[in-house]
Amino acid sequence: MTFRKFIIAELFRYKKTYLAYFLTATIAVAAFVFISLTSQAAKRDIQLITKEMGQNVIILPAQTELEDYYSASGNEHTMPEEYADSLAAHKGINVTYHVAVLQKSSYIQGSRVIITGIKPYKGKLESNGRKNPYRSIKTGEVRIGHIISQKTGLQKGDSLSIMGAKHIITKVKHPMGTMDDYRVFVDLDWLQLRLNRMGVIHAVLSLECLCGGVPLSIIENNIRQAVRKILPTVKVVTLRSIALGRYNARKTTDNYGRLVFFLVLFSSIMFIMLHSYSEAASRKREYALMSAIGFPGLFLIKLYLVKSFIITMASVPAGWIIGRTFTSSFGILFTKAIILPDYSLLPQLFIGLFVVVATGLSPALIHALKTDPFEILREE
Amino acid sequence: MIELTNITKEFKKGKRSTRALSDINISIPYGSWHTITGKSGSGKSTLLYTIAGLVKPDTGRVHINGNSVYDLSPSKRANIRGKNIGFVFQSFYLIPHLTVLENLLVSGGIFSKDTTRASALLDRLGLSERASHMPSELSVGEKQRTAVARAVFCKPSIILADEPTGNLDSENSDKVMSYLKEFNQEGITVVLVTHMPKENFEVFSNECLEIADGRLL
Repeated sequence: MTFRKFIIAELFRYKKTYLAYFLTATIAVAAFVFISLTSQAAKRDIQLITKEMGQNVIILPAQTELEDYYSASGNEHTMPEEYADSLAAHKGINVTYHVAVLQKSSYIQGSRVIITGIKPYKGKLESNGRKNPYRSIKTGEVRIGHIISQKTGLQKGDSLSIMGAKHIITKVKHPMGTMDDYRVFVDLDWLQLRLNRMGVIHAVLSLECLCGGVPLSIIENNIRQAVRKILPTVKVVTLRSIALGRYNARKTTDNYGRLVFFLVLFSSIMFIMLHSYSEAASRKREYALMSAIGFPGLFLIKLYLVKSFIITMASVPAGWIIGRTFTSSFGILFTKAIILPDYSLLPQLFIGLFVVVATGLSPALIHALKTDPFEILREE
Repeated sequence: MIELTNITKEFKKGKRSTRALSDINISIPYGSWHTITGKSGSGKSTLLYTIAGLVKPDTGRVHINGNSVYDLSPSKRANIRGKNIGFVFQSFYLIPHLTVLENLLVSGGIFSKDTTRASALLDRLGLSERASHMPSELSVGEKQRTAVARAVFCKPSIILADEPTGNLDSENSDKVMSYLKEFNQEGITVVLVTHMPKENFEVFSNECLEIADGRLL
């Protein structure tokens, strides 16, 4: 007889009980996989949507009035373009996707527009290859705002003369409801050359990382302080509606996932706990006998840990497969983003489920350890 | 030698307390057979489990093989129980998910691989054909013989038997008692408690003790 044979015999004898533990643990894993993968995809979905809303931080020279920047009044102050480099290179600021901006008010076909030279910069913290919402523009190409297109009738593929140079429209932007609808986006280097303002810009637009869980005011304050440390002569303006939109969307997704998962986890633990307690109560004679014939409490602890391990090892792969299948079939109901398998969840799952199962089985262990052989086995 | 010195034990439940053992002093030499008789609630089972290291007395000491049992840690006590003591219960208490042979192999607090000895014991007790059966497939007589085989498998020096014939008919009772006597004659100490009259056991016993209200008479 070996310990392994003993365990196998026990699993076989109480197969209905262990099947119930296995199914409960498998459902918990499947729910975790489904919620994790779907909420990751939903977050990406939200990121894409909010990125479309544009950058949520504007960094301006300290003397520039916000009104002047928005209206391109010509009273905006300039700052060195290296500021954008400094921001992008700094690892202490959780801000990504910077855009250096130089602008000038002008007219196209009688309509007032803001010629806006842009050059995107990618922050050091952004390492996963996502694209800046502002793409770089080649010299000779332009993107125009929605209202300009409406007023002038210009469409994608049309040509346009800006400051005497011919440009091709590569995109008419979606309606934004902001001054971007009046902007003509051109290559920054070209505009600097044309305006004879080499190496200077009016603003840097940035996309602030708003991680759910940290209050927005704290994030804002941290970013202001960090930016001022490296660029003391600028001011930082947060576009609160965009920032709040991003922040709340992320937070809601996170909280929703956490709540659902907590409910699944709680009900799984409660089910295993209640079931294991009643199992232990019905097997008290066995435990009392094991103690009477010389098996110490440590043996019961070992037995309990091995059983938790076996349930975990069986449930994680099964739950993963079911969770993935369910995600592939029904994830589309929750997000349009592609749901990717995240194998980095597996180690967490093994450890987490072992803790869940061991916690669920702990009342049985405590009951078994507290079983008094004299109370149980003595004959009346 | 099993020695019990000045053993007292009181059970408390709420405000009520019951004295189960009172000033018990017994010396049981190795190889002897001691029968302890008494009515239900007299304290005989408490005494048996006190010898086994499963009921800690309020006062007094229990020595087995020179070890003061209750001065040892619970795991060392379990170890001593596994090596030195075999149990036979009225209700058999076989492990339900193990076969007859496997029930022997897990006795004594270890997982033994000595199937030769286990098979020989089963053969001796007329259970060789039942070796691969589950306890639920046995008759009561077979169950108790399996329990006796389990009790002696680890070559203990003591068998503690708690009403071993209480659930058996006379034929099976005789069989079990004769097996216990055989093992006793081979040198194993037997301590048997029963509610039946001591006259029934005098033929087996070196000494018959009677207990009432926790006191030896």
